[in-house]
Amino acid sequence: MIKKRAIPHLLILIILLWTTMSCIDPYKVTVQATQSYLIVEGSITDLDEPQTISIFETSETANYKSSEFTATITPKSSDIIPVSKAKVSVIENGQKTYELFETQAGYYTTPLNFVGSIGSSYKLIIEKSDGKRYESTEEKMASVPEIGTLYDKFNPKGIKDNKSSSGNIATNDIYIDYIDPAAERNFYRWKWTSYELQNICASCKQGFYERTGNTATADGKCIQDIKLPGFNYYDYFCEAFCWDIFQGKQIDIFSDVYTDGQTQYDKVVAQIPVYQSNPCLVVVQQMSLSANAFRYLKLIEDQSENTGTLADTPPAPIKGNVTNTKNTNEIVLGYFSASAVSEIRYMMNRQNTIGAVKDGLFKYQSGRDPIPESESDERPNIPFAICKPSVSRTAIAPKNWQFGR
Amino acid sequence: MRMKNIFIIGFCFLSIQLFGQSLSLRITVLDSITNEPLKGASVVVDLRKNQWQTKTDDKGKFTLNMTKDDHSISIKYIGYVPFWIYTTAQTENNDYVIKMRLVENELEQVVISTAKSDQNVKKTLLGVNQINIKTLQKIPAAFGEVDFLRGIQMLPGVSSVGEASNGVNIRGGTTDQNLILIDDTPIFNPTHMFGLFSVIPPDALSNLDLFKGNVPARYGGRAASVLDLTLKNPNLNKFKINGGLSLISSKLMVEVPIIPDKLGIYFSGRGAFTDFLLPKISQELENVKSKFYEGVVKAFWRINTKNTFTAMSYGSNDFFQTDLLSSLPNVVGNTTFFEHKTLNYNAKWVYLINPKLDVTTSFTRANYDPTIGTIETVTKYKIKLNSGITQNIYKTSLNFQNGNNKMEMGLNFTQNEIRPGTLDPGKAFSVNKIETPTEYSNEYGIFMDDEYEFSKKLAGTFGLRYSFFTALGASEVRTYDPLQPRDEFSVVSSKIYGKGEITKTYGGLEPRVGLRYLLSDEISLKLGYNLMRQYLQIVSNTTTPIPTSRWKTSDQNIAPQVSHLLTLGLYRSIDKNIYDFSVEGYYRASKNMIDYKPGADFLLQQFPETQLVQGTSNSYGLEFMFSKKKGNLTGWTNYTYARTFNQVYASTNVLELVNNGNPYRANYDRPHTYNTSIDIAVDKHNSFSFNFVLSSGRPYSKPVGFVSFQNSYYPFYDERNNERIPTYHRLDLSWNISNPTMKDRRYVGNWAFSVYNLYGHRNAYSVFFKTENNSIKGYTLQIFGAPIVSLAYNFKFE
Repeated sequence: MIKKRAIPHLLILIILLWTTMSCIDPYKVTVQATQSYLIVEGSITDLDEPQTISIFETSETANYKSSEFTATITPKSSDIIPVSKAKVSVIENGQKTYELFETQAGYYTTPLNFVGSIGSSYKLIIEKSDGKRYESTEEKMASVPEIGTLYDKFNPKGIKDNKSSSGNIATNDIYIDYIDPAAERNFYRWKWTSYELQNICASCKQGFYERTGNTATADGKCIQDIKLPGFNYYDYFCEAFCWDIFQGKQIDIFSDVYTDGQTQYDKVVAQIPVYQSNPCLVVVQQMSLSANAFRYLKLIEDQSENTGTLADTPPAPIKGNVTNTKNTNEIVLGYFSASAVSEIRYMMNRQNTIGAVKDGLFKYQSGRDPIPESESDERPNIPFAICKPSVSRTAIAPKNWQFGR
Repeated sequence: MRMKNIFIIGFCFLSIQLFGQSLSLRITVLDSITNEPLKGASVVVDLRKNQWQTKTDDKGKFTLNMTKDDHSISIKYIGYVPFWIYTTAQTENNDYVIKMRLVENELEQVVISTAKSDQNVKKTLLGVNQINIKTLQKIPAAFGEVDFLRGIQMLPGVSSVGEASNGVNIRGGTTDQNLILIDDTPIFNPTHMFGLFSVIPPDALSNLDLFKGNVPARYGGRAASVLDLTLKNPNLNKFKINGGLSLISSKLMVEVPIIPDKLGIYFSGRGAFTDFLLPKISQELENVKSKFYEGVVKAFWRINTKNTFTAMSYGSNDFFQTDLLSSLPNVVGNTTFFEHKTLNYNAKWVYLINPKLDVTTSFTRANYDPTIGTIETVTKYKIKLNSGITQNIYKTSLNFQNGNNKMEMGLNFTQNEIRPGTLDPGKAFSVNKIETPTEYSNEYGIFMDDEYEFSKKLAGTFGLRYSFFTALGASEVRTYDPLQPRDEFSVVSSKIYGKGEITKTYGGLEPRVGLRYLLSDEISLKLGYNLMRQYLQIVSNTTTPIPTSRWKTSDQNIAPQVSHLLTLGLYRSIDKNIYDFSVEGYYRASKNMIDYKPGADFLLQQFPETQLVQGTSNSYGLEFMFSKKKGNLTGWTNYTYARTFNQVYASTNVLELVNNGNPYRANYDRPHTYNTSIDIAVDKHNSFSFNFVLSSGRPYSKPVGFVSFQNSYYPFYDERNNERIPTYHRLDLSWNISNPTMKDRRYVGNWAFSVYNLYGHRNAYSVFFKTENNSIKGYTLQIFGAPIVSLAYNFKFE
């Protein structure tokens, strides 16, 4: 037999048995709190608007448990307790004291004559009703450059979203340019808020929406009617323009350690989910941070957002800049900062957006098309619903709103 | 008559011819490398020691006269691979030259043991494991890629943080506390693709010595262990090609004898360019691009009977682009890529003064250059952060052997050059060029190892090393207020040193002692003590170092790590060394272990001491190992109980304490580990191998609560590593088919079919929490969440 010296041309055969897999599984935990932590959060800015500091406490007996199927932990609102009746003040440059007043339980707002100014230092003093006194470090308000150009680009792949069937939702990505000031250390933070038009202002399960009558109130209410099936929904259109308010949840920070004095182009500062094709107002804020505030936010970011990689950083307790004057080892969560703000209020017409539906916000939120109540003999006039203001809804047109629906 | 090939264990062929009724064989036995005659090798015919035993004379010669028949002749010499000659009625009288190979050079039949098959009990060192390439090849591996790092994790005392770990943890040490040497050249990053594959071309690998207990004094500079990988020597007589293809890579090795018996060279390489398959493996790998290759060129020149010269070069290259790692921070870019290159050289000259004494002199240069980069969004230009480390190592040693005394002494000199990082914007205009100063240091070592047999029962190895380290300028050295946390604000003074000026020195003795006492011929008790100093380490605050992690030498503000290891072991061989059983217990205490302040960042940081803290680490463990070394079924099974606790308590400032100054579990603390690895040879062509691994999950930090701020919920933490991820277990299988055509040809093909994670257990690599829509979700990340089936083809042409 002739010996075969050549390498056979077919050397490889690959068999791949494949089971459907994803590399990430939900994981259930139960966390039982053992102590209570104070959470102080807030920022003094140079914007001419009230500045709010929030002061809360976690419950000593809080229990956080993953849900059965989705392994989601939803902290109970009862486990976060507002700290009321505290004496809260801000000291400017070590001299002038501004007393803050409590507007809602746990929320303290600066007086009307107060506007933060660039270059000044601010310190927060809290005296709780039980006599414990907390002080923040002095935070100096650094200047911030103006946002240069701002534009948006449609991003069909978008961001992860577990409400949508594909797991993703398309976004309008907001890009900005800015010129970093040379020869100084700058720390940045970007925040965004969007105002989306909402056309459904009330939904009633097994009931009717009423604004008049014995049982109803002036701002409207669902009145249960057991004659309707238990799963019956009626949705009611808004009486006038109504906006749902969305806020960016990601911590977006930056330091000019590598980019001092250079113009930064095409920085993505917001990814606005495309819930609907209607125009919306996007408010982008570029804020200055102190070095310590930057470090603090960086730690939060590392421990909550930059996780699930192949090489995570082991988490550690994060100490904010507020301390108990009698017990400096007490861990107080949150940070009191002072930031100068450059803001752009951008009316986004969404002309470049593909695949979005007009007035689709409600469907996105509830998972169904609106079911308007049809006129009947008993209810010949279907009422419009009131746009009830809350932290996530407003009936007052946001500043710079330009178009109609 | 016909020439007939006879079966041999070794590397050269013999032929024996037929002659009359009686048979006379004149045989000369030589060392395969030095050609020195081996005096006193024992020759046994047909395993009948009483009747047919002889020894080689001064010239390594012996003559056998016997009947012309079937005989099996064994030639054995301590430390060498046994050699067998088989005769038949047709065998003719002849003269033969047999070249015996040192076990160290090629370990064939020994599956796993301390250095020599029958020396597990008798050797004076503790905690030494050796795996040869044949064993490694049979261990089922992910994607069928032979992987020494996964192989040694089947041994007791070797663990890791998981399947994507960039290195292994040996007896409670960190990954950078292991000295990994490829033919004497240090390796700074042992894996490709972030821990998925190891960096050695499998065909060139000959042998692996793992010193996790007693480390001979000739090794220095790392605090936990030594992994000494030896590459094959080029074949001086035969042209050979091996190669193979698998799902991931293709490999080729070509051996060319240039002057027969004098000079040979080989090239061996492996490359992987199949990253287009990655998304099919896992969605998580969708955005991963990866290419890697590595190669070795090695030449061996036998100048004469007294002198040999070896030259070796090893190179490896990786490119990968991933979103599974955090990107280059503070640069506006949209993709992160990593590139890293290793280029090592080694030249070694062995001069044999007389059969008892030789001098080995070598020069080594090791170079590792990792880069992390991003692509500027607006211009698509690459922005790179380049870093690197270079070592030049000069070494000379004298080896002496006389009867029951074996001695080695020598000198080492290492120059370190660390380039901590340069941010190179290239043409990109949004970023500045930033350079951090290059760091220089020298390390000196003088050592002696002596193996001495006091009596038949008591023997010992006595090693002593003195190491001395100098940190050199040019540099700026800061002094900090000891009462304050080290940062920009606590600098008391700062001194500028010129180039070459000594800024700080450290040094000390490193005793390495191993004692063996034979309780009987088959049972021994051993005691070992080791002290090791480490002046060069990785500073990285991630669970496993990433390829671009920074290397840092000791300096005025970072003290060297010092580790004491005490080991006690009991060894028993059963049934003429077919079975081995051992128990080893150890306790290890190290100081100046490195941990990090919250939020530590080392990128382009000129003063890394402001980011880190030093503490102590204590580990202890008990390792049970049972192995079967001969027969159709070979393998081992072991159970390890091991703990590691770290503590950082020195500072008075809460920012410089880890876990409030209390002891905490190391990231790789896994108390219980049970490993089994079995190879069953069904016939000459088929063998099956199995691995089973069961191990406690590694620790992670479980939040103590969730708080709402910044419009979202965040976990917050108190204690470090207070929980464990779920228990890890996995079964692997491989089926090796060698030469399926069953024909005796120059071309031989082998198939290896393997299934990694046979029952598809979704082993967690990490547990983490993400904020989603006003709630928090816990997740586990898996690396190999499904069975990985692969088929590889390897061939040999001689």
